[in-house]
Amino acid sequence: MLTSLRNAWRNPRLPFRRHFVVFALISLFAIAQLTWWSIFQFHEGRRILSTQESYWTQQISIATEKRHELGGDFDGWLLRAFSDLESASGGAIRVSMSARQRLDELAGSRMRMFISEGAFFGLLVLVGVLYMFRTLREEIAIEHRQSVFLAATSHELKTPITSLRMYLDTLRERALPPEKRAEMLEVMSVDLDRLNDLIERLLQAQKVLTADSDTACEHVDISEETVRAVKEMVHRIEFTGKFRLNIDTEYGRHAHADPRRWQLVVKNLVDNAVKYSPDGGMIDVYLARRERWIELSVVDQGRGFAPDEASRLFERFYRSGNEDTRTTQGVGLGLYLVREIVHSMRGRVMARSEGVGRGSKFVVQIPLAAEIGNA
Amino acid sequence: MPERILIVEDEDHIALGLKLNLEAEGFECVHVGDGLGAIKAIQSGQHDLVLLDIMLPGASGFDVCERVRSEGNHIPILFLTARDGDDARVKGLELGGDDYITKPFSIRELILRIRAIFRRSEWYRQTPADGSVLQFGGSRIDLAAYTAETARGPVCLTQKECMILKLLAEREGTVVTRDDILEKVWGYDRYPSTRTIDNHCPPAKILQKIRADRAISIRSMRRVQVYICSDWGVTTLIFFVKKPSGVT
Repeated sequence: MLTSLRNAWRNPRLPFRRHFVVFALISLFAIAQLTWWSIFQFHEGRRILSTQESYWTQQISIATEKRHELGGDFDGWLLRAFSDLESASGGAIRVSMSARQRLDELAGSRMRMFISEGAFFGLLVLVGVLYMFRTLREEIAIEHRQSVFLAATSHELKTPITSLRMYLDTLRERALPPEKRAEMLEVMSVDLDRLNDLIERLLQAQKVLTADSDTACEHVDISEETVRAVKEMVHRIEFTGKFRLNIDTEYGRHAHADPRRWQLVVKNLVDNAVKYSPDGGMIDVYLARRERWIELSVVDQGRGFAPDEASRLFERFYRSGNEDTRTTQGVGLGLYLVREIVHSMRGRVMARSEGVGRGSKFVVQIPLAAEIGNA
Repeated sequence: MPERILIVEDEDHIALGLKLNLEAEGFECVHVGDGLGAIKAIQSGQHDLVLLDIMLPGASGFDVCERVRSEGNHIPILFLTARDGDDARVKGLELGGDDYITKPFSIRELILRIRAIFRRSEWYRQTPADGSVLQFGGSRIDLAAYTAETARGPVCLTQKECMILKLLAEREGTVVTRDDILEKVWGYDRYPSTRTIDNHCPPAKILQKIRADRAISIRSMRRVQVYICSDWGVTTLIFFVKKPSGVT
């Protein structure tokens, strides 16, 4: 928590600093209130005890004077007038044991009330402060992810545009041999594809997020759709010569799903594995039945991630690491899309890794066709 | 001998295009695709200028520039990046970048800027006609060693401070505007804030640093602040820090 506070404070964006100042002031005020209330209650308890003691002292002095006046009727009068007092042996007057017990019980019950109310009040303050802190932290994380997305999108868009513009200028202004011109045109074609891919991905994301998920769902052979999606990617992936793609599928597994969206899930997961795999790395795709689920696993031998990062990988615009030292392309939408699509199919997503540099496994589960009605 | 340019760019297509164009212009080019490789290449001292991307694997362009400058290396660095915000531009220049171009750029403009940097570097290296030691308000400024001998002892100067003094000395007796200094010392034709000089090297502060403050008088003339530095006839420099409105 302290680290988060320190990082947020160092954040140059002033609105967040202001939020943290307000958060700190409210927290301090709540803690001060709680402390003041505790001190007040403690003093109040002591005041009640000392008032009772001084009241008894006054009663004892009055009773001592009366003893001389009343003589033999004194005991009866004492019982009627001051029920908390009694005559002790040797003629002394003292506070009865039962009265002291009642006072102790009163003090004890006040203390219990004080502790339970204090604990409740303290818990309330703590929950409020923690809730505020979480909200603030979430707001900062969203802001950070959005700025990462903007930086990544800007980079991803500008890089092919820069290359295209430069090659266009070069072709226009320089006399080059035909083979060099052909080489440049090939580079430009690759850049155009890259640009087109990015725009397609952004549009797909928009479609997935706005479309009604149920309308396109049908009874689908998931095994077949998975194989189809992977086959489409095999050519592109193995063309690079850097990766090997292996698929192991149980056939005949059906689910109630949108086939195009399911293919998008498979492609995004394989794409993600390709991005983070080392040259020569093997990517394995498994599809199998697990109890009432169809489970798709994509396993790579790539960079992996720290275990505490697993839950954040599926967040929108989340990109692991520092944007200035990025080694992979992308804008932080792929895994988010996977999660959204799978959730719309009443499924679930998981990411596992034994740590950085130790590969990763992404698992998607959707209910088998027969299970949908019971889900 | 052709000038040697180090291209630090992780996108192979862009690096290839840059290399082709710059070599066609007569420069010698070497390409490095990551930040750590760039630091090593710059440390080898075999290059005259660095074209530096910011988003790089290993170490960012900012890290590379900071590291190089902290080692006292004054090799000209031109940032060539997709990061186009003012924050990034200011950060790049404050870390010691000599210029900053955002992608997508015109290759012609890039070549012009590279040539301008080389011209400026040449001017930086040139020794004034009367030698590399400048007499100024009783102090001696060594433009080659970036040091000043003052009445109260030696003082270290930055490269930019030295170059401002050099420019003032070259233009002795004439008006030197803010734009003149930006163009000649920084080489910018566009910068997020024209307060650059005041923020980094205010002339009065430089003169104070070299203990020539007693030779300065500041006068205001109709919203125009004029620093008149005079060593009673030995050296007379006039320096406008603010261009008066209506004067072109």
